[in-house]
Amino acid sequence: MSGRLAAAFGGHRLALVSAALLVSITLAVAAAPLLAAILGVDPDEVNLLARFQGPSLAHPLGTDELGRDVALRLLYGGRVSLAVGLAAAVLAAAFGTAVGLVAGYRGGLVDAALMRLTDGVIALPLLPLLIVLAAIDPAKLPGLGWLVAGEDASLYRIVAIVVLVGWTTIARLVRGAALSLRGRDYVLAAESYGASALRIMVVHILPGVTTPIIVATTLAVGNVILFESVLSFLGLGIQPPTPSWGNMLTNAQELIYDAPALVIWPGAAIFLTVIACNFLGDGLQDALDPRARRD
Amino acid sequence: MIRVIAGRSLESLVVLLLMSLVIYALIGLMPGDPIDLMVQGDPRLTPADAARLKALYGLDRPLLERYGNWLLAALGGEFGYSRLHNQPALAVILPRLGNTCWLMGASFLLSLAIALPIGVWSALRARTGADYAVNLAALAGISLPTFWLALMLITLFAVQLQWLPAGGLQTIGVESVADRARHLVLPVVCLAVTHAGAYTRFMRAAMVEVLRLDFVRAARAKGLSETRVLFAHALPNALAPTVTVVALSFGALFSGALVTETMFAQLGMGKLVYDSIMGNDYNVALVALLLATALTLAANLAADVLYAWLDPRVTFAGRTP
Amino acid sequence: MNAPAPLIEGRGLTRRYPLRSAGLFGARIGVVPAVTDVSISVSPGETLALVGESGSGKSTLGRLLGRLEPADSGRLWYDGAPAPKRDRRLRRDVQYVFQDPDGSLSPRLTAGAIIAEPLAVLGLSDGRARAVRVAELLAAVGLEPAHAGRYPHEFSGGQRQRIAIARALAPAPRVIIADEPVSALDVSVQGQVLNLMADLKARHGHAYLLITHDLAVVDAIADRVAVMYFGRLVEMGPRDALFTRPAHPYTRALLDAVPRIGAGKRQPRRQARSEPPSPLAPPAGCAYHPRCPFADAICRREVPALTPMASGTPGHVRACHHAGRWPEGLGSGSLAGAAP
Repeated sequence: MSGRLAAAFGGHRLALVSAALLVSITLAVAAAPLLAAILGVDPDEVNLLARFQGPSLAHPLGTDELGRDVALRLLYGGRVSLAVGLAAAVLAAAFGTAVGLVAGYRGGLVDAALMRLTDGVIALPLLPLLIVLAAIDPAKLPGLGWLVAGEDASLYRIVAIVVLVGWTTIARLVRGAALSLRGRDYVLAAESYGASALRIMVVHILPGVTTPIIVATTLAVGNVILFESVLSFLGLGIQPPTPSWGNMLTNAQELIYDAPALVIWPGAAIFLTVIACNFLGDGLQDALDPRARRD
Repeated sequence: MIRVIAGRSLESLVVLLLMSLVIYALIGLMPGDPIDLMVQGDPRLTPADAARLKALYGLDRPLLERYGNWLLAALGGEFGYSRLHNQPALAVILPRLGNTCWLMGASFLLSLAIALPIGVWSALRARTGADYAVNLAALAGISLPTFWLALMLITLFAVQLQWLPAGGLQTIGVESVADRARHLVLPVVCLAVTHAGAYTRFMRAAMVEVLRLDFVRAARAKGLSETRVLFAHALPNALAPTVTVVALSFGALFSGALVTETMFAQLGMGKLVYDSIMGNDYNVALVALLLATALTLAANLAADVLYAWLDPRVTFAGRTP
Repeated sequence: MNAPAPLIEGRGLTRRYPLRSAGLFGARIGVVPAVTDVSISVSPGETLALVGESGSGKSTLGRLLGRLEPADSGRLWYDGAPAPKRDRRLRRDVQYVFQDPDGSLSPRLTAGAIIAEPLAVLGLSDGRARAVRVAELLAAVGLEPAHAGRYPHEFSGGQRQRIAIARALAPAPRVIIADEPVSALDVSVQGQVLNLMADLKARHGHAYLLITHDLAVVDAIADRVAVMYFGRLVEMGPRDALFTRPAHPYTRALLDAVPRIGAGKRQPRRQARSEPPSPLAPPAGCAYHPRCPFADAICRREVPALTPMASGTPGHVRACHHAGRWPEGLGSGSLAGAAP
């Protein structure tokens, strides 16, 4: 009996809690500049006299190795990590959707070629590849100069890199769905009065594949945040002084002895955000697609 | 069957060949080039010398030509020299491969030892509190950033408790299996924890799927004991898809190994890939990346073959729907 | 044939489907002939019924004529000239109604959007005018203008088929190809939809190519009937002539198979001898010979051509080696009952 009760609680309650958590995190990081203004603290301000301070009223989570406020940097880092996660996941979803629609609707050789490509990318060891991509010098690529210019350069780069390898899951999902929908009579009907391939894909097939896209994108946000954090941690992602949850940990390994607390907070923020994305994705899957219920 | 395996192997080889071109091109896009580095290291070299050297090494040739030359040399077993180690690239890589195999193999077995029983147990209690607890734990494992878990493990077990070493392959000057093993404990646990979650979910999903099928109900209706139904009928059928997905996730395991090795200063392939890219050691980076790709492709191929072998209903022809 | 200038005409249309083993690059293991060398035409304003059992190729022929799929050989003529490969006029003038309105209406579009889409695609009207046209069309098929905002699942099967008909009607086509338009509907609704189709034709003057296996439907609205068997036309002619004097044994068998309520004294049924032949191993000669009570050597050898009847109604043709030689009166007593 108690098992059933727990089950009823377990099902969607966790997804709801996750959604609430994600909304809170988003609101908190969005409010970061406001908080900084109210507290009169500059998150980038170095104060070598106030290094490694413990929690206090002025610095709720203490200060880091340069005397910066950890709580505020955490919020600013969250802005970057969340923005990168969301932007890369959505762009990758868009690209993967386009590939999947074309492959599934066109079929034949186009499908075979695109799916071989997808299989190929899926088969690759992702992180080493991401590291290479992050290490390349965009200045050597014609037309990509804008990627190196500007202070947000590392941000755009990481989004571009993740999109480049992150579209495959959705491409496969959408391709499968499109393949089953393209034989439907309503697609045939649209073809009969000469609707263009683009129109058929967007108007008639896309609405039928939104559920897997939403679920997969939610899960992807978590994954991207993980990849961003590890790349930034390794010094290849978001470049300091712009804080991200990943690069806040870059120096942490040496600081383990002096300030173990500095290691805990950014990692916990990543962990909480990613697990919330995963639970929300799971819950959405259950709610939106009754056939794929976890039972 | 043999013909199909041969066909798939050929396909994998083609992918590998394509990837070698892509990786070659990407490495060429990394900042600086070998001659620039030489010029930096030796102030006596003039720009004219640099240009001559570039011509000598063919670095002024078009990409495809350079790639072709590299490929010909590589097929002859010539992979170039390591800039950082002053050794042939292969001589640098091969010993590392062994270390990585230990780490990955041990973590893989450990995560399966955790995931398979728990996955089955959880499937038998589908939609109960226990099942949700398992799912929570599994998702937590998936959501843990590997490098952060490594930091936490080091902080707790190496710094605070001082039970285990924080990194390295062995204590310098000590040659013993026990010492090597002690150094492997934290990396193996770290890598296993971050992968066991996904494996548990695969196992659970496959088992739930099988338990729903008619033949399991028929076996129960025949009056077979629950243990027999489980181990003789349901489990073998659930293992086939699980093994496949697990083999397909080899690439993820390698990515995890890269981070783990870097965190725990394990001299393995993953750390080598990272170090060589960061250190502009082009030849080593190229070969190490290709080797990682080849291993991943081989794992995928093995997944296909295993699946067909474990599940006699599957014909290879029907593999791609 | 009977009308001077056919609207659409297929000449020698042939369509085969390759049969592949499972898998992406499955080996080609055979060819299924769906339509073989069929010449047929639809004249302005007429209703031509295409009948045959399932698998006879009637739906494929409809798709070839509606250019939903390409013919392997043969030509399509439109309005007295060979039809070009991509022709907006044809897209507009030939519209399609599918069997199952559940599958032929996009589930995530409103009825209004569904009906408006051909107008948008063909660039026929825009903005306000299109909304007016949609309301007009909804009214024409017996629905309310307010229904435009609803989704297909909010309608009954009959109403959904009305929406599909409104969509086909939207660009004011000259011919509507309707593939089993009522067979997925409740019997009680079938008559209403057929009446609607007849009314619309009376008002708009378009032609129908009606693909059906249901002779009662043919009886209700067809002017001419074409009978298909195993990918070929076996008989074609004006409805009454064909119903009262069927000139092909297969047509007879079809008419015989119609159950009739209250037919006092029943004629003994001439049952078809066997199942239709396997499409992978088509019989040589006349495809009907394994089932035909009159088959002999020539039937097993040669494919009969469509020829006019010596003493028949103009436009009545059939493909049978023995037409006229088998007893003409056979079974006509019961067949007469099938005609009005």
